[in-house]
Amino acid sequence: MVMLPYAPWLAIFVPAIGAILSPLLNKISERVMNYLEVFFSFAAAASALSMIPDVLSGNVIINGVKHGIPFDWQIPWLLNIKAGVLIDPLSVFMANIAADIGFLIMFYSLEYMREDPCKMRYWFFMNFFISSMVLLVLSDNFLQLYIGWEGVGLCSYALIGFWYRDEKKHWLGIYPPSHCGMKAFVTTRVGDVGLLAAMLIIYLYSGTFNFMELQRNFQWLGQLTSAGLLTLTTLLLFLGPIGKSAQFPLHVWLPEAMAGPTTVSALIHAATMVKAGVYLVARVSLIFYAAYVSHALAFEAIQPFFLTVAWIGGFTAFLAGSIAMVSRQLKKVLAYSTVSQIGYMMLALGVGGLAFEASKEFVAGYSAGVFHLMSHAIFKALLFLGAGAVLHATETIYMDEMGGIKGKMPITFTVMLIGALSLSGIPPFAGFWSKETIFHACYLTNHIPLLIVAAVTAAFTFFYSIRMIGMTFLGEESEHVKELEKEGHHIRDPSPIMWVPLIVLAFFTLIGGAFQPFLQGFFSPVLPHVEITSLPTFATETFTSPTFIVTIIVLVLGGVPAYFLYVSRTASPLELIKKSTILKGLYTFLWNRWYINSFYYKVFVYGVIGLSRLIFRTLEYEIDQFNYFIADVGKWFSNVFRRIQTGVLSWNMILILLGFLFIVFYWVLG
Amino acid sequence: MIQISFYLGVAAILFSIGLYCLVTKRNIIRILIGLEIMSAAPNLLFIAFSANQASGLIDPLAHGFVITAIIIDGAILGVGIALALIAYRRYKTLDVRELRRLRW
Amino acid sequence: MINFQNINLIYPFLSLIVFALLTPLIDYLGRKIKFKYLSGVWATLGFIAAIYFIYKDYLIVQVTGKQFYTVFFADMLTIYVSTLFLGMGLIATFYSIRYMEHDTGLTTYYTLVQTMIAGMVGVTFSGDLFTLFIFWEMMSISSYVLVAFRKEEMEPVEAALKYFVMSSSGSATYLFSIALIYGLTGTLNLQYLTKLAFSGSPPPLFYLSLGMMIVAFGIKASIVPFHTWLPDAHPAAPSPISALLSGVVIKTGIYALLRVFFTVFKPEVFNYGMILVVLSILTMTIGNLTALLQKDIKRLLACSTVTQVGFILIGVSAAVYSKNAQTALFGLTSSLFHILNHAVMKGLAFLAAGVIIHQFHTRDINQLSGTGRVSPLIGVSLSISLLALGGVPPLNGFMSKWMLFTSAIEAGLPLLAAIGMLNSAFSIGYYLWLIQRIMIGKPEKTVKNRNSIIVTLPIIVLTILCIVIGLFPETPVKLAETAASALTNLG
Repeated sequence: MVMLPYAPWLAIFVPAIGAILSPLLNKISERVMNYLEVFFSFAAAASALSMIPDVLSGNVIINGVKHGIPFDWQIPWLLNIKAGVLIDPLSVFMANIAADIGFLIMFYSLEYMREDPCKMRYWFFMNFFISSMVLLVLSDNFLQLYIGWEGVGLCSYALIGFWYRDEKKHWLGIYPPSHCGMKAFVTTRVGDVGLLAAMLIIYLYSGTFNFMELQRNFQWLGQLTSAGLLTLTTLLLFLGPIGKSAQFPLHVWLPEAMAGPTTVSALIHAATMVKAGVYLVARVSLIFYAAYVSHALAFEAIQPFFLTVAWIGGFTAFLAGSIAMVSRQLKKVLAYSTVSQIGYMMLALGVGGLAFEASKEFVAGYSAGVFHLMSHAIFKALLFLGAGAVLHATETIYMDEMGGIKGKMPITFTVMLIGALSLSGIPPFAGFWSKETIFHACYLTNHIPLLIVAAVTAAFTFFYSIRMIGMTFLGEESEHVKELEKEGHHIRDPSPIMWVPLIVLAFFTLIGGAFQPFLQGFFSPVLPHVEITSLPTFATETFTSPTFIVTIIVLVLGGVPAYFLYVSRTASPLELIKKSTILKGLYTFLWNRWYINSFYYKVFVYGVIGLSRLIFRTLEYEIDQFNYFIADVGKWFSNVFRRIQTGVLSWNMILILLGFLFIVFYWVLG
Repeated sequence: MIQISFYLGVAAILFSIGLYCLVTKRNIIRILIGLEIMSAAPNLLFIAFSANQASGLIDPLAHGFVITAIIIDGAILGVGIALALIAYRRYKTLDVRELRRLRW
Repeated sequence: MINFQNINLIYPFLSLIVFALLTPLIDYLGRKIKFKYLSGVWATLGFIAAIYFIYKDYLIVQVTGKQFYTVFFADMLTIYVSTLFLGMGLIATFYSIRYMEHDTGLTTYYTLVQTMIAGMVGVTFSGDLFTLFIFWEMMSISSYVLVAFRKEEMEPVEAALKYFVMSSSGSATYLFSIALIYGLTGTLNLQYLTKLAFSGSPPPLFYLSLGMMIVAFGIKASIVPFHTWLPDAHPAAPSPISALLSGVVIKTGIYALLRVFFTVFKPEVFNYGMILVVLSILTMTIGNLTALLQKDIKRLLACSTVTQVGFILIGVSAAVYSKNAQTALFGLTSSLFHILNHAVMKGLAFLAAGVIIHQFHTRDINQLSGTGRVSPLIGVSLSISLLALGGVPPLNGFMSKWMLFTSAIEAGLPLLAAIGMLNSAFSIGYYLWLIQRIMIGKPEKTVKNRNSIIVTLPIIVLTILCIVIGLFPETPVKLAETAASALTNLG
């Protein structure tokens, strides 16, 4: 099978065209628009899929990339920058995640968003979102990537604040949706500024934005090092992913990103937005890795970058996992788990990069990170879409207002359970394999502190997964559910349009682990100096590694208390918290999200507002007075000099005479 | 033979008289007359200079200039009188200081 | 002796005069066949023909550099300036076809527009100071009558009368000045005058002649303190004529100044750079101060014309003051470029304002609030022209102003550049105020927004020119530079 001609460009532009056409289609008919818009995303998914066989067979790939004529568009007047696509396993893999899962979500939206009156806007931004993400991952240079990056940011803003009229029912706790969208936009922007700065510094030293050129000639790295800017630049670069992928300290926006429709959350968490940061780290770490493997760069010089990535990832995983254990809202649990899982990916990528000249460890860490990205994309999309079905049915966002609906929604329950088990890393689901490889990579590179952090987080993960399933589906029906039943609103599984994507995703979650051994081979073209582990070696390695024992221990540690608290309900969590002051303190601390959010609000939001008020009252007022003074002087002068225009002819002639006399006297006297 | 500077002086005086007229007079007709005096000055100069170019020769080109200038003066005066007439109809006066709706 | 083989050089204004003389006949024909736009179409054709001939001239002059005849001559400056005049004439005439359709006396109107432009083109083609005077008067007389075109109202009559008296006194002064030159040198031909050489300093009468020349052309170019007719006369005329008067007629004064400065009164010999600097500063500042508190939209635009003339003079004075060939060239280039840009911007502003005035029957800015929103095309075009006049970056006004200030600094006049920048910033004050008035708020009365394509097309063309010249200034600057170098190397 051969790649569709121009498949990469099609994957970028087809959804974009769909987005642009949506107002037009809306004029024709709403039904036509709905189906056509989904079709556009399907076409993007098909284009993305069509690239896989070629990448697998390697027949279009020369030296790791297809970087040829039909894919490059030169824009001559723009700094000599070529618009191009980069087709390598990593980008194709990411494009598929964005486009395929995006398509499933779009399909699901057909039913989920059926009653929304603003569908045109919804389709527009959803398709534009997918298009931007595909553009981001397929671009072969920083500039084009940045365009996609900003497009993604814009769409997330628009979609999180989708219900911008801020009706009370869409509020997320104390925040209205438009506020949440703004928060997401502003927070990620902090990171974007760093990315932009890093991009421009790199361009200044290397003269190119192109990834391949950056990887081909490492002179710029040497110059950066000698200028003492390397660490700064790499950390600035990492600031972009920190913002976009919601890592500590910029993780605060993601939980509020739940304010939009659930499909939007699914798209943001599973397919697009947050994966962009991981992709960027994966992309640049290839460059750095290649640089120090070829001795163009000292390992010590780049070590801070990878250490930062690993530790930020590990800490974020721990932080978000701990908060997820106390959250009341179903979607917020999922949101924190996303932050936590993205932390895992960063951890794996960082650990891989820390494997000095040991290609096996690099490959292990790298493929672990990317593999976890894929399995997470699948099961998180599954969980969100399932949660959407639950939310739709129960008409509440709080888990303690659900409960006991297992029998009423069997399909949803089953797929959610699969997703939750995968999330917690239970064999044989996809999540187990990917998480296991992360642990293994930590172990291989001898980063035991990171391994401990990751392991503790895994315990947290299992705890909150069981808690989520238990509170939502098991136990007794809550008051709210009973009331709904009484009103004649029966809780039941959604229609096929909604559950078919769920089943598809559940299927892939089940078999996803099987991809793992192939993945290292899949990435071999982009990974230099690879030593591919063969399939049997891999399986034995996984089960005989000491980390497997760690996994079992943490699963027990996390699972057992959760089982008693939320499944068998032998103990009530609320009672426990009441009894113990330590637990109570811990609970309050976690409930308040480690106080990071409120700290940010105090300092960056209210602080800035207060400062601006102060400046307005003191400095601005004086400046205003000065401006008024200038304006008054201007008016006064104008009023005086306007009188030259007397309207009397004699005066005009006198002026001419005076002018003539001035000229003559200048010569006579000068 | 009269010195060329005398002609120059007379022309300058003519020009000044015309300018003085424009500056001080209120009546539009007088202003037009002032304009005519002003444009008579260069004509006089042309004629005077034409006889002064080379000894015993009068440059005919300058006479051509003068005749053309007089014709153009006539045209200007025609427009001026027409404007004065319309102004008189609209404003019912020939005093230019009354024509001061346009100012500032 | 006229070389009849080369008579085709003067076809541009010859053809215009022929078209002008035939206009009454054509108008009569139009009335017979009941097609009232015929005279307008005829005048438009006349301009197209003239532009065609000027293109032919361009092809000749491009090769030979300069063309001298007894009374006519042509170089790149001639071509540059007269193309601008003819282009603006074409646009204004085309616009008039529908804009002026309700006026009476259109025969006179179109004839006079053509003779006025023909006079201006003639001025640029004059190779002789007296020929220049003849065409100068041809232009002036036509413009007096055009200002007084709506003679049933009081304002145009008064404005025209003042314009007439001041401008005619200027003409008399000019005649006096060239009479002095004739007396001193025995010739008025530019070809000979350029070869004028002085041993030591020139006689004082030359200085008198130069001073009179500055006054005479200064009146036409509305240099302060000779500008007082302009804020009266320009608003009083019908809008297309205002566009022509502000856009190109005053540029004839600048052109004539440049021509005599660099042929007769060479800056290396005569000392008058400082006078121009002072006049430039005065013109910018007084123009701005007059414009600031105007309540009448057209009067405000007219006052801003005075300011813009001051900006043009920056380049001229820089060129005259520096006495360095390279700096002089740059100063002249920027001035000529600003002449082009100002014609485009001010023409656009008057034409767009004309549409709004035509719709709302008032020129009071306070009553025009929100009128730009009635027809967004007109409102946006007017805003673009005002922004360009204020010198907002991507537009053409910024480019030429930037060049002008740079040239002033290069010529060693940083103070002039600083005052220019201050004035430019000051002028933004009233331009933005006007935009705010036009674009924000609700109009007091509702009118039908039905503009003919004939009215809107010139506006669209000029708007596009404003943006395109601003974005890609290389070609017009190159043309202006050729014109400027033709001027400085003359003789």
